[in-house]
Amino acid sequence: MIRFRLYFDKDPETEWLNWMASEGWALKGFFAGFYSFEKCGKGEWIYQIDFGEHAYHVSDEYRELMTDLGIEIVALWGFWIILRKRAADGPFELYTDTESMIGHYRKILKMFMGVIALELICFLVEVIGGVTGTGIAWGFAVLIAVLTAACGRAAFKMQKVISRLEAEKNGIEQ
Amino acid sequence: MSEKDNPLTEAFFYILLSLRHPNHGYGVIQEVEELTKGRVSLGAGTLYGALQTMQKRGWICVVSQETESRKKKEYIITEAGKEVFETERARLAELLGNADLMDRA
Repeated sequence: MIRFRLYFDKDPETEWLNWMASEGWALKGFFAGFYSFEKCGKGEWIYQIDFGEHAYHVSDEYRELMTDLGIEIVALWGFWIILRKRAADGPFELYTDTESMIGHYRKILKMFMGVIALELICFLVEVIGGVTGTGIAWGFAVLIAVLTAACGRAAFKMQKVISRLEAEKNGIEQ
Repeated sequence: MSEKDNPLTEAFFYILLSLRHPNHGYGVIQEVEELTKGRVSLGAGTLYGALQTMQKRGWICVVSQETESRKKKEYIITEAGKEVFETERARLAELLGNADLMDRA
């Protein structure tokens, strides 16, 4: 079964993948918004999404650690790493303390800020194109504006999560 | 060693401790769980990130171990790592020592 979804935020995406798994559908692959599922036992797998150091590549060290822990790398997409582990092997959380969670969300926020900066440049180029008479440039400008808004929204959400985690951390230390 | 290296997070403290002897990632998670009676259970992302950071800072290093089937990556604490650990131990000892004042109140 194939489903198409556009997620900019990994938390609802993870929730959705786990909901699908609880319904007996295990994610097998991902490509540009297309999620391919295959039948599995209901709740057989737990999914998590990590954010890697390199796009479309994980280090041997990462791979080895995950394999040793019974974690399977399902798909690599950009910096995103979709992972799963058998529910029978116990709980599956990637980040178990506030410090590492903050680090994780900061990396994601940084990526979004970079993407937004690039999109703004592209947007300007298209607007200039539109003004100088290339009609189709306006279409691209709108498309880029929509993408930028989606990334902006995701970045805003990451910032909120980071602020909440920081407050939690400081609350303990104060 | 910079200012912000201490205090160590609980995860860093226990990872350094379980690397007093050569240990691989899975072994670290198991040892930390045993030492804390299941209270601290390190997630894969937390552990991987900590191992990367500590290698960058030179607190731990890789010692590869050849087994029959494949090369297995193990880590061990370095002298710099031990120094960081001792600084943390001294800080914790101070806390504990001062905590005794409560009994004399």
